[in-house]
Amino acid sequence: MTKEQGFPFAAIRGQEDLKQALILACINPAVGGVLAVGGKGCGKSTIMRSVRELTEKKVAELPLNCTADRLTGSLDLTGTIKQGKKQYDSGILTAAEGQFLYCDEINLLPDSLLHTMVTLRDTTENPWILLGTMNPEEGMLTAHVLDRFGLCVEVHGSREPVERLEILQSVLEYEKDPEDFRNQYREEMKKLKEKIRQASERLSETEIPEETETYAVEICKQAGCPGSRGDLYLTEAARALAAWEGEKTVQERHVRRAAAWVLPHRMKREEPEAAFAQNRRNAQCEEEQEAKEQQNPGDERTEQDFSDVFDQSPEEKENGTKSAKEQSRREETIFLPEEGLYGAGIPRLQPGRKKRKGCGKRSRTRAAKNGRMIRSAIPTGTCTDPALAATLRAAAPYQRFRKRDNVAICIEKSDFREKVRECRIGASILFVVDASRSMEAERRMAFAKGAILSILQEAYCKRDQVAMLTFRDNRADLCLGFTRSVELAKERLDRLPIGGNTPLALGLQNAWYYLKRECHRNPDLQPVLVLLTDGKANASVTGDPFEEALRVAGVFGEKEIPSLVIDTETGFLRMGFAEEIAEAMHADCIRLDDLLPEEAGKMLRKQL
Amino acid sequence: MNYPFTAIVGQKEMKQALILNAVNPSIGGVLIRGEKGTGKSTAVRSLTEILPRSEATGKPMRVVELPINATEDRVAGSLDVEYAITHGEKHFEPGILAEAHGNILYVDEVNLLDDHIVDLLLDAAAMGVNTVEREGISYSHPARFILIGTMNPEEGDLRPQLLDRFGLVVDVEGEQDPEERCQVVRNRLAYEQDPENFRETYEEKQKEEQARIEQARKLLPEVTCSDAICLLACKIGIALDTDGHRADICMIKTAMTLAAWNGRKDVRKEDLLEAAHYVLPHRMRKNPFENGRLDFAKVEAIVKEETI
Repeated sequence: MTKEQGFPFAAIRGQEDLKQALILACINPAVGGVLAVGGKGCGKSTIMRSVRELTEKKVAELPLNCTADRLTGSLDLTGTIKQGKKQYDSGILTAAEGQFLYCDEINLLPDSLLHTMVTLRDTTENPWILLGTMNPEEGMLTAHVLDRFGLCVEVHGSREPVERLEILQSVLEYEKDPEDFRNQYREEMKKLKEKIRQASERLSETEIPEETETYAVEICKQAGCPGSRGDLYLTEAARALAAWEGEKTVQERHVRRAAAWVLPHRMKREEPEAAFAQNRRNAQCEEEQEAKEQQNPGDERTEQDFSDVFDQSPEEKENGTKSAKEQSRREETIFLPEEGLYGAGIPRLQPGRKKRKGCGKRSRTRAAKNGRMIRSAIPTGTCTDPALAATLRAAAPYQRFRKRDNVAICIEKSDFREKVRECRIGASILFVVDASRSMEAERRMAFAKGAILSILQEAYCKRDQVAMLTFRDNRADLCLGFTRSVELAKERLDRLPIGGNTPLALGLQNAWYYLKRECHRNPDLQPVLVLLTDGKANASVTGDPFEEALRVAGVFGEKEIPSLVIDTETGFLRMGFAEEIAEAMHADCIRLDDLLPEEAGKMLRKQL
Repeated sequence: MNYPFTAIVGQKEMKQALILNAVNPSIGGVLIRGEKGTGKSTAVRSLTEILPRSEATGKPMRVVELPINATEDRVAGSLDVEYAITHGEKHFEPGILAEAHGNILYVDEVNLLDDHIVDLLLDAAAMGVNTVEREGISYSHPARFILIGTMNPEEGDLRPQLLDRFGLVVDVEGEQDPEERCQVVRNRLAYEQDPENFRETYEEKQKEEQARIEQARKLLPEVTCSDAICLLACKIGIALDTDGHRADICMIKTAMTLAAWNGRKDVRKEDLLEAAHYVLPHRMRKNPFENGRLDFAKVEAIVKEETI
């Protein structure tokens, strides 16, 4: 494959911050990589890709279709069969040691690969310099991964007509004749590259005075950056900047400039109001749990898991001798999750729930039936989704000893490997809305709609699906089945009729049936219930309306379906019925009049 | 065998958008939104027969379909299992993206495509190269294709990142004019009764259309766009608060292609205005709850204001 020459770095207008950050990464590998964050079409990838012309280092690409075996390397099929001896194929990461590793849309990379990469990076002696782009509209990276990027630059499109015109015309000119366009900038590129080379030579002589170093550390502390990575990256970036500017000593202004790229993405996120302190504590517990889980990302039995059990597995010996890298991988997968413990109704709910906490990222569930294959594993039971390449690799070392009748490779049952897929799905939010007469009072419905809208807004960003069920007048109807079209939900909401009594139990019951049906149809579904009511149930099928509602609510609690109750009761005197319902559901309850619209979304995220 | 493109009644905008892409593949594809039964898929599939040669491969362009249930292996390409078993060596088996190089990649119901397949498309579309690192295979090949998608908006939205990849967007509705509607039915019946004969009656027209596309393609490198027109495009982009620079770039490219299609070497204000119709609608929305509809009067006012 010929190396396709891209848009020349020197011809890029604007985006000075990103360009400077990349130059720093070229000068000093210790600045820890660059992440470009920005909306679509503002030239992130174009700039990133032009780096390969600034440096002697290679720029390896990490495509989104990558599987675990290519990332870390695996058994080489051809060599192993031919020689009958195990041969190892080094992965992308090994090849990228000491070089640049570029991942476009890094936030779309499967979580497991991200974590493998991040963990291995810390244990590799001469790590790769990670370059990444991401569009926050498609979901965020976890703080854990963000922290690994030394520099993070926000990128915006230009709003200056003249600059925009220049950009437009240079793109048109480039596309018309790339070769000619590149020739125009050849000289400039040469000079730039030379300047970078000189700066990197100067780097070792560039010193940082003690008071400047203290200043850098102080800034990091003030910004509330956890850990020491920030300090380290900040001083390294400041040194690189000084070297680039031809200075012998690092000055405070270098630190200040570099701080704009080093600090923002590792500052502590703003926490919601103190009113939700309790929730926060819960969240922290979960976060800790999550952190633990992140260290043990394998919630499937991976091939590595069995290394202690089955000594004959050919890949194990390979991996076992494969240096610290592989060892850290093994450590990651010691624990098996307590999968059997979760509620029988919707068993896959819990693990996903923890996964998505905190970072607000779209959730990913493991062990999905469809989705992208991330690695292979020894099948538990019958192998229904074979990973052919892995199966062949497993069989390869034994070929010399097996009887092969007219085939190049003979596969036995013990060789079978199956695919482990990871599926990225948003939550499925079911709104259960009380549309009875009592909701008419004091514009409750208007507020309720505001709350739903703010949740919908988030759902749009996270690509969740939404459905809506209303109950009123002895009926509970699904007025919108699960859809990804938030607009549709908004339209239904606008036309919601109100009036009649409050069959709360019926509403919950139908919601339960609906969710059960949907979960049956799609086992990977992650249902979330949002109930809007004042809790004043006054219609029932049998017996006391409120008792009945509590009983049904209890079912949700038992099955641990994440739920949120928005109490629409307003005013000074409260009956607190909705709170009781929430308790039965093991759900958080927020009052509508305490609720600023934007908080509804935050509260919901807590549930996920 | 397809229904002839030139026999499609009405749907001027859809046909124009498809043709513009055939003339200038760098426009970046088209997304056709509309309810079922409005002839979206028919139009895309019928494009095959009037397409010119691909500049990337030198072969006649074709329409390669990406089925909605395609697996990752099939899309990106993967290990050739048969070869591995019979020869004991690993070989790359090209996937749909390889097939689509230099051709049109058509995704019906593109909004229903699995997220992880969309990611693959985005990756390849962004770089024009498909890099595969899967199952022990490390391979990369050029994958420059025209992405054409059709969707029914009732069934959900498209991810913003993918939406932005489409150069043009056309919203189609069923034909409203009773006379045209009758013609649609008559054509369809005639075709189903005797496809051979029906296609013959349109052969002349098909050839003419193909020749016109070829001609426009030849003329395109000579089309120039004045600074004033380019600046106008930038102003529209800024005034409508579009994301990034893709809107400006695409507007100018489309306007230039329109000029070439109409046999001109200079881009006029009208071309830009028409281009804006196709380029802007899907780049408006920042937020689903502000009315994200394109306010075209605003564009017209900006264009009118400018005296060129």
